[in-house]
Amino acid sequence: MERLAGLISTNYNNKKFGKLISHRPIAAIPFGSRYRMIDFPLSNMVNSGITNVGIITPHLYRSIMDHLGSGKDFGLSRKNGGLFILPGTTYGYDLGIGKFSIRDCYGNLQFFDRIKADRLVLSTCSKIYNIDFRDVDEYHIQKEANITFVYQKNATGDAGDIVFDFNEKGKLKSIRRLKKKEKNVCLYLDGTVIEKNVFVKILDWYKDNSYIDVMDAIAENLDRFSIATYEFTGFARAISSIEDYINVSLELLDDKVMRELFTGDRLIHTKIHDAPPVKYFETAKVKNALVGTGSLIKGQIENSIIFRDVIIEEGAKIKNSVIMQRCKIGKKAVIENCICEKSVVIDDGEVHKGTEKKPAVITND
Amino acid sequence: MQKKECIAMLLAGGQGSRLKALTKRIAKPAVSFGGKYRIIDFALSNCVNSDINTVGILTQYKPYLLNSYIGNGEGWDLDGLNGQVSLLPPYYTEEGGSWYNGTADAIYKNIDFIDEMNPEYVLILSGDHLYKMDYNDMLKYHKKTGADLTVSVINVTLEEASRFGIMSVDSDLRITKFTEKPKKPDSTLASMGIYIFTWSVLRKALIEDSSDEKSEHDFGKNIIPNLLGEGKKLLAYEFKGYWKDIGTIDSYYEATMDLLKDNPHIDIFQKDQKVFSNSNISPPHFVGNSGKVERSLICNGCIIDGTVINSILSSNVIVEKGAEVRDSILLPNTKVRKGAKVVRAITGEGSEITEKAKLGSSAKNAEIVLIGDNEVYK
Repeated sequence: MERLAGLISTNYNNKKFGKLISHRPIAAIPFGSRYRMIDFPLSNMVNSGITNVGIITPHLYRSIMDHLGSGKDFGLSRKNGGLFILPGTTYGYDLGIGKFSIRDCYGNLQFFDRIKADRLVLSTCSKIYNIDFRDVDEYHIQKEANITFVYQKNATGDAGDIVFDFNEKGKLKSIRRLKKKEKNVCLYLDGTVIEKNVFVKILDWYKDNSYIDVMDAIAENLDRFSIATYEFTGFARAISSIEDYINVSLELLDDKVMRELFTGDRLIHTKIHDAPPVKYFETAKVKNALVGTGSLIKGQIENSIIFRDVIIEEGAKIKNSVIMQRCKIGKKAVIENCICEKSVVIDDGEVHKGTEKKPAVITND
Repeated sequence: MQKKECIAMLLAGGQGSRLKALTKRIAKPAVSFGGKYRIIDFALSNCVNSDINTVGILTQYKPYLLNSYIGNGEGWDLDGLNGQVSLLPPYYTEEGGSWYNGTADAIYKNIDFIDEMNPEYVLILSGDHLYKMDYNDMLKYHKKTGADLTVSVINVTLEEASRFGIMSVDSDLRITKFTEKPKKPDSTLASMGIYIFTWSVLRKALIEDSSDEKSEHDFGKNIIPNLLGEGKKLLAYEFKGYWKDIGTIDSYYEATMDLLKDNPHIDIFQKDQKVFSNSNISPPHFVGNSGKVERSLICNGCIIDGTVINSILSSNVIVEKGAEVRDSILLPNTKVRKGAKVVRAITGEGSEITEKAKLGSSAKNAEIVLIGDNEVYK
């Protein structure tokens, strides 16, 4: 019996990502030298032994489909279960508030009927962490809960993020959405274990008012469920804006963070490209960097994230930046505090500088 | 399945004993090369890039890693509806069991497999050669000339010639004489061990050879001279590119280090003749605050906090703080601990150089030092 099935929503957006989402949902934003945001929740699921995963797609889903394919690279190309594409029906849902609309789930009700699972693991693509959901599931069973939320203490959340308030006895008092950035909150990590029948019941209650978010629906009915909260103590970050994006990207350069996220037993999976190794030339200088495969490096890199198939010419200097796949940085160009979108070409000698507070996003448009 | 015009039979059973510790655990075609590749990737990728989508791989010597690496062939797109990879080990029959005794015997024992595929032509390849070649050009040549057998040849120096199968040809490149490893070579056209046979001709030759008790069941020693004796049409096909039989540790080292040059013989970055491999899942490589990398190839999963100069680091290699790696080839999962020094060395898969240990010497003409898979060097 397959006890757990996964459900990932990618049908949401947030204008605070600016140009990074002009052609793609948040879920498809490249992250961490070779991944996309969706790789983290999806890997968390397959690494927890989940073999049934439904993906709720957004309106612009080309990049998601291109990335996931049949699910082969995630071990989800299977006869029994596997990857299910669940077309989202909510359009223009980009207020940065809801991430998991009832309407999208209800529109795919058959998925929940058909999969053999007692419980669902829900996730979005906006939180970066590496978790074994089996631990959460065990806790869920032990607590005899209907719903178990994963959260982190002393975390930072942005507008639209969900936080939990507890009473003195440690009991969940309320679920609320942040209106602006707040530190030291008990941040919901967008990870939930929920009994399938409870989830379907909620969908049914709200089917006529279906633009509401699943979390808001639960918050409205807190007393009707037995809710448990699971504290995640590892590295976890919310990414809700361009600033978050570059800050968390550069946090990956912390040795401890890098090892925890990437080198344990639970590896993050992604679409395999089969590029050659990175070639460093005589003139290359590199310090504190994550570098994806297939890149040719002749210039200098410091404190930066370099994606696959990037070319950095002689004398170029890259600092505190994220350079996405297939970018070409010309000779003696200077890039500081920038995000270079995919396939951007920086001519010889060009200088681009953002600031730590306000990184510059360089695109081809 | 649709009828195949040409299928490939890839000989991958060789031990490669001259590669010493590198082939102690695995067959030569499975030896790691160029960071993320294994030697067999080059022949397999050539097949894929030449639209040959059915490949039989003949395995014998320590096949486990090779088998698991090839899998169902999906790494090379050889798992499609109309193509496949088949691993073909020796097997037992009602007359008893035996190993593959020679290259021709290996193909003879798989006549059933080839008949099943029912091709017009069979391409015979070695899994341990390093080169990029479009077999389609050779096949076109074979068809155009109406040859029974086409042998791919490369021009070598007279000194090297005695290590190869050497051919004399007439002005139409028709082979007039074939000598395996001649003491006094009278030509410099060397066989690359790449043959295209018209299947009906090869099939007959293999059956005849199998009952010849004196035969060594070898293509170079028996099959080709026999066909030549029968007056069959044997043609040479001259290959102008780079080709290397990685036979010894020195040639392995040389061929690998060549990748670091600005214009290497084998271009792994070339997009139209891509080298495919069965990629493992590893994170991007990480160069830490105290790390330094110069003139090197670095694979996914490496963590570098020390100094790496003029070296090749395969997947998941760790170079700790204060460690130094120079002019070396570190195979997958090598760990170089704090303050250790590795110079002009090849370290086997999963090996470890302990803290402050010194491996290899930078002295000129010093021999390349080799430590085997999973070895710990103190």
